[in-house]
Parts: sequence; structure tokens; C-alpha cells
Amino acid sequence: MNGKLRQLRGTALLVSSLLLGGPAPGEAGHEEVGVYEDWRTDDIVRADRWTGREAGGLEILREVKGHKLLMRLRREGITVPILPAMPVSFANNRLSFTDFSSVDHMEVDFKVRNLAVSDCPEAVPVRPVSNIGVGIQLNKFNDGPGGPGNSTGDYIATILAFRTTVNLGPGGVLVTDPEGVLRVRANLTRCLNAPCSTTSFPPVASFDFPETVLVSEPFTLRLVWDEAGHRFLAGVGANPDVALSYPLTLNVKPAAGAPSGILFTGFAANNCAAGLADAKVKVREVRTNTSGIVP
Amino acid sequence: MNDKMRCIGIIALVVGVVLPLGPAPGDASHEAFATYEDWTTAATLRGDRWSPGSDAGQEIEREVKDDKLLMRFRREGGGPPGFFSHRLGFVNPSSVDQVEAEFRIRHLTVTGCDSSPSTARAVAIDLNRFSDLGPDVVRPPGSLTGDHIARILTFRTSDSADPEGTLSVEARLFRCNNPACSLFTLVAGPVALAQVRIHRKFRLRLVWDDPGDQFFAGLDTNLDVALAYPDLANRRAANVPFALIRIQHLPADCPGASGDAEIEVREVCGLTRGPSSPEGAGCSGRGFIQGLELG
Repeated sequence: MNGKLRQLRGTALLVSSLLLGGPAPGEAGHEEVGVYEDWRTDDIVRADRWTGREAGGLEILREVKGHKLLMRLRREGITVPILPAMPVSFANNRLSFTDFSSVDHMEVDFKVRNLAVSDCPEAVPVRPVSNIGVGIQLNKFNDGPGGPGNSTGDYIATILAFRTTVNLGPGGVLVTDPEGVLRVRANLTRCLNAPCSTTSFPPVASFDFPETVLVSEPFTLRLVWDEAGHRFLAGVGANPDVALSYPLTLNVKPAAGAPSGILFTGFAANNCAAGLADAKVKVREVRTNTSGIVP
Repeated sequence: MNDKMRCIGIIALVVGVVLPLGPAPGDASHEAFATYEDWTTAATLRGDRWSPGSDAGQEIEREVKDDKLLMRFRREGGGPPGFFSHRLGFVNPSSVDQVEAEFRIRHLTVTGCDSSPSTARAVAIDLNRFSDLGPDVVRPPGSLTGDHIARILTFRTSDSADPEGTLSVEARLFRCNNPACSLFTLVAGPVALAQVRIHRKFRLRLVWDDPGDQFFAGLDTNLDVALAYPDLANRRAANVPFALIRIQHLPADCPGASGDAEIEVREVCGLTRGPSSPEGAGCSGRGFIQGLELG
């Protein structure tokens, strides 16, 4: 362990620590890892392995072609007069494990294609931000209030490769990444309501990776739950994992049911025609701990 | 009016009258259909025209290609029985009184079990415009109780003895009896219209004749059928108004059961009112006024 960064938040529950440059990839797993899905056994999304959901997108794709899962998500900002009082319009496209409780290690090979994300060219009443990202999530425990149909108190670890544009308007700064580049961030958040449509902010733990990934280049994202160590480990490719730690007391009982699996998410700036988040991604192989594999 | 069939529901308010072989196509409408969407003005789904969504499922597709919208939805059974849909909603449904669209079914598979058939509704048009709940009844947001849904649909069941690739067409009007509309009462219909075949284009039409207390439903240039309702059924606007095109599956509760449909949505014609109504050029000469085909 080369370093440790501790984040102390105002509330007693939300304490996080980050372990930088720590374990080797997947080190915390005490179980072998195998192929959960490579899209070769069937040319369909198997219902005994996966459940798909989407919300808020205009174009959506989730299909198996050529031994790969193709996913697309496209969202425009709202421009009609009935604009809600929200700065952005959210969307997601998910593929979740049917039995998420048995998966505590997952790594997924991605390749992002046709990425387009843009915000408003001029200042608008609210801060215009657009974002598109693809990643993976593990939801393993709950701090008490959750139950059937209620994910309140679930803790979701996420690692996401994403691209964002922010336009702060005249006198502000247009924040954008170099063309074709996605940054990578991992975080641990708590579900604040039954459907987990809102999560804690700031997150319990968060880490911005120094590594970036590129459009049209394959990359691997990894998440491991180290229950004994009270942490999740997150990694990009063969780089060392980083830890998202949490207080032992938060792990009261198994997670209630917020999704674990592949997440494709985006939001687009409202109030202007240029607000857009759009990308396609190929998912090539999903690996999990062997006890989580559905034969 | 050549025939009249009266359908008396189980509750006093819900009485339906079905008038098959009634008016000429679009007869009840006093305005022509106009082109709402022909997928030529943009290479993508326009957020100012459409508000899509779906239930949990496996594969899904919603993309514009070659001036057509492709929609696919596959849902496996084996879990709790229910209705699972992929929806393409008009963005301002309260302004939509009539919808006509041209479709082509690219693919359809429906698999059930010996004791329990599945149903695949490859495509349907829905209008939900009014409710029979009095103005003093408090309606929770999202609750469909009391709303009346008119529907024209194409469907095939897994135990169908019809020739391969054939789907039946029906029209119906039903009242939702619970918030999710999983319980309902037929107000009018179902009225069998005719059959359609996969790989062949066809047009479905649904028109609300508010002054006449009826809907009209039609297939291609066949005569419309009427779905009548008692005046008291329309006491206020629907709580969850929608005008939409949907794929809907009812997979059986057994392993291996599934529904899978891929359709082309070609031209969509509508009569819309309100500030967000897009301008239309006239539905490519296939609109109808007072029973007279234009162009």
C-alpha cells in the first residue's frame, strides 16, 4: 500500500478512504475468476443471466451480434416549452445480473464507438452539462432500511469511463476532454430512496484514475468486493486497483436489490438544441468469480 | 351502420357498444391526418416529438435507419406473468386525437408451454384520453385507475393454428381498474378486424371521436369499426394521458417462453393540437377526410 487518502464527511455514516496504488488487479478476490458471458453460447441475452432495463433515452440498443453485445444510448436535452426545472435530462441503459448476490468480482471488456457529447454553445439559465459514460456496478450490502422493493440504504460501487462537456457561458470556461478520450472514475454511493433514483452526494468514496481510455480502443474495467477488508477494489486494465473503503458498521445486511452489472448512462444539457449525449459500446466478455457464473 | 354489438360490462358505468363495419376510414374525423413523423427530417429520434420507454426485458432496439424507425423487444417468461412493453409515445399526448401509422413486421417469434400459451403483440396503437373518475376523486400521480385506453393491435399466440407469419388484428376499449392497469374491464370489443402478415406493410388507425363518445379503429383502407362508450365514462381528462405505439409481450410463466418482435415504424400520421405540434405536410397523400382518400 503506497498511500492512503482519507475523506471524512460531515455525517457519521459517510466516511470514506481511498487506498492509492494498492493491490494488484483483483488481488482481494479469494476465488478464481471465470467467464460469466462471452456471447458465444447463444446469440441472445440470456434471461437466466441478465435482465435489461432502460429509461430516458431516445435511441436505445441492446442486442447480441457477432459474439458481442452491442449497446447504444442517446439522449437529447429537452427544448420544448414544457421544460422541467432540471438542468439536464438523464438516461440509462442497463444490463444487470439476474442473481447479483452471488457476484462479488466482475470485470468487463468494452470498446466505445461513435461517441458524441455536446452542451449548449451559449449561457442558459442553468449550468449546461452533458455526459456519457459506460461502466460496471456492484451492489452488495445495505445499512438497514432496505427490503423487498426498497433499495434505500444499498451501497453501490461503480467504475465508469466517461466524457463530459461543461460550458460555463460568457466569461466562463468550456471544460472538455481531448477528442476521443474518456476519463475513469470510481465511487461508492448510498441509495437514498426505494428505486435508488437518487444517491448520496458527495459519495462515500470516490477516486479519479490517472489513466484514461480511448474511443475505438478496447479497455477493461474491474470491481471486486473485499468484504473482509470493508472495501471495494476498482481497476482499469492491468493497472493496480484502488480501494473504496467504508466503515464496517455500514454492512448490516445483504443489498436489497438496486442493480449490479453493466451501466450505460448519460445526461444532456437542457434548454438548447445542442445538448446531446450519444455513444455505442461493444461488450466483449464478462468475467466474474466462478461461484457467480450461471452455466 | 350494418351491425351493432352491445357489450355490457360488469360495472354500471362501463357499458360499451361496438359498431363493426361502420364508417369509412377516418370518417369520424373532421380533419385530415397530417404527417407527424416520416423519419426523414433527422437521422435520429427527435426529442421534441417522441418520449420512448420500456419495461424490463432482454434485447431492445430503437434506432432510425434508412428513413425508418426500427423497434425490437424480446422478453422471456419464466417469471411472474405480466405485460411487458416497448413504447414510443407522442411527446404531448393530450393534443393527439388520432393516429395512423404504417408498419412492417420484420421478425416475430412467440413461444409458450403446453399448458400456458404466450402472446406477442407485435405492434399496437394506444390512445388514453379520459377517465370516469369524478372531479372530486383524488388521483395519485401515475395511477391509471379510471383511465380508458383505446387500442388497435396485431398479435399472435404461441398456440395459434393460423398460418405461419400471420397475425390477427383487433380493436378494443378498456377501463383500468387498478393503478398499474393489470386489472381492467372491457368497455368495447374486442373486435376482430382482419389479419396481417410479417414482411408486408400495413397501416393501423385509431381516432377519438369525442363528440360521438366513440373511437374508430381501422386497418389499411378497410372500413373503420367503432368502439363506443357511455357518456359518463368521460368525466375528466385521463390521469396518465398517452398516445403511443407499442410492442407488448405476455410471455407464459414457464422456462423457454418468450416473445420477440422487430418492426419497422414507417410513416406516422396524426391529428395534433397544441403549441408543440410539429407542422405536417399531409401524410404523403394517404390521409382521409370524410371517407375520401386523398391523393
